[in-house]
Amino acid sequence: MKNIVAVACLAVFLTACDLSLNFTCISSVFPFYTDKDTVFEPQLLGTWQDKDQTNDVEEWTFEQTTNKSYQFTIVDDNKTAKFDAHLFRLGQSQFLDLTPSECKYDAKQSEMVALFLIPGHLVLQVEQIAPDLKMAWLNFDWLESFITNNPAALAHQKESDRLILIADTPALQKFLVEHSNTNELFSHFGTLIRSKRKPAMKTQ
Amino acid sequence: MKTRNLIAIGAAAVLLAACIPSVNPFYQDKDLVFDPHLVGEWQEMETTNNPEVWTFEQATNKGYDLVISQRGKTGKFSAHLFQLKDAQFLDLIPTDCNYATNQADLVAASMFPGHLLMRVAQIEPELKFAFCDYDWLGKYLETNSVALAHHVEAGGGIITAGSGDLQKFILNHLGTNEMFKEFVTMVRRPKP
Repeated sequence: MKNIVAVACLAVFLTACDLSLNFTCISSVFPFYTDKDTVFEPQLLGTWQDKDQTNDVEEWTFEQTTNKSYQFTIVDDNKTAKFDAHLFRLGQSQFLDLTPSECKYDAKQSEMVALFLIPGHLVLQVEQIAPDLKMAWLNFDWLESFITNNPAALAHQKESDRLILIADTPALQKFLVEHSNTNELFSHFGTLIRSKRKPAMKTQ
Repeated sequence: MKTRNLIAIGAAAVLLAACIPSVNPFYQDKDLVFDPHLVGEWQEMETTNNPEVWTFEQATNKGYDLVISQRGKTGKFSAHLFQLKDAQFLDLIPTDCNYATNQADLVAASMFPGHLLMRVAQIEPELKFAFCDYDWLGKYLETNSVALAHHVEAGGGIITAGSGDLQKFILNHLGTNEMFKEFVTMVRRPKP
């Protein structure tokens, strides 16, 4: 199965992920946002890179798709992927919901496998967008430990030891609000700066 | 997302063109049965040139390891045979997934596997099964949205109901000839 490749600026995410079907990343069946929560921030548009990384720079590009959503493209070491991204606000906090907009499989794998795969939602807390973009992934280790000790706190399902959130959006948001300011659910913020390789794209 | 709109090669897989996976398994441990006759290599009865081959091996917990192969492509699954009243079913979920090597790994981190359901009409002497008719199920849930907990996004539907509710739904629709319509027959693969 897959080895981990860096989202170097957000290293905590990497340590939490083993990208097999048994990986410990925790994705959600339901989105973390509802339409009424989404906001559009033009300053997010453009290409970003890790502040401290100079070689093999991973780039995160946000482009506008609708008036309330982005296409997020990640490029790392000639690997790319596209996601639907929604910036949303709960109280004073901002978050980013990501879900894959396409998925490509190994050509030698039976097409049957793809039929079983479900694109889940991942969430980041966005602490700041300008001048630098500061974000943190969910602390998957903390969340798994919390849910193990408090199984009624958030509806979930375990599949081959991998946790999947099946709580609906209101329950997810309630959980985010309750825990986003405790420095536990989002604990390791990374900083991205405007890409030095090329000018920012389509900023408005 | 269009990943689950693929038309797979093989008579069985084509019926899954718009499948709706379940987050929860369709079985509970008490429903599991192990039938040794299922173990072995099966191939499509009607196809002689490069038929799709399903290989069942005994695994643990009354389960099977299933490998589906055709034309050099393979897929690995965990399969559980279970019984509800007089009917037998197979629950399938992939145990392995390999993604394109030029795709950022963040995609793999977001994806998770669901369960699909087959009804098993017969194991010996030929294996006869039907996948759930997901076209029917999708339409049914459109007009009966509270019949089974589910979530619909641009990429398709996902069933979120618990195993107990899933089984209740199956039993409610078992006699209607709607949920399982098109049965596929597989025969033992001749030994080389």
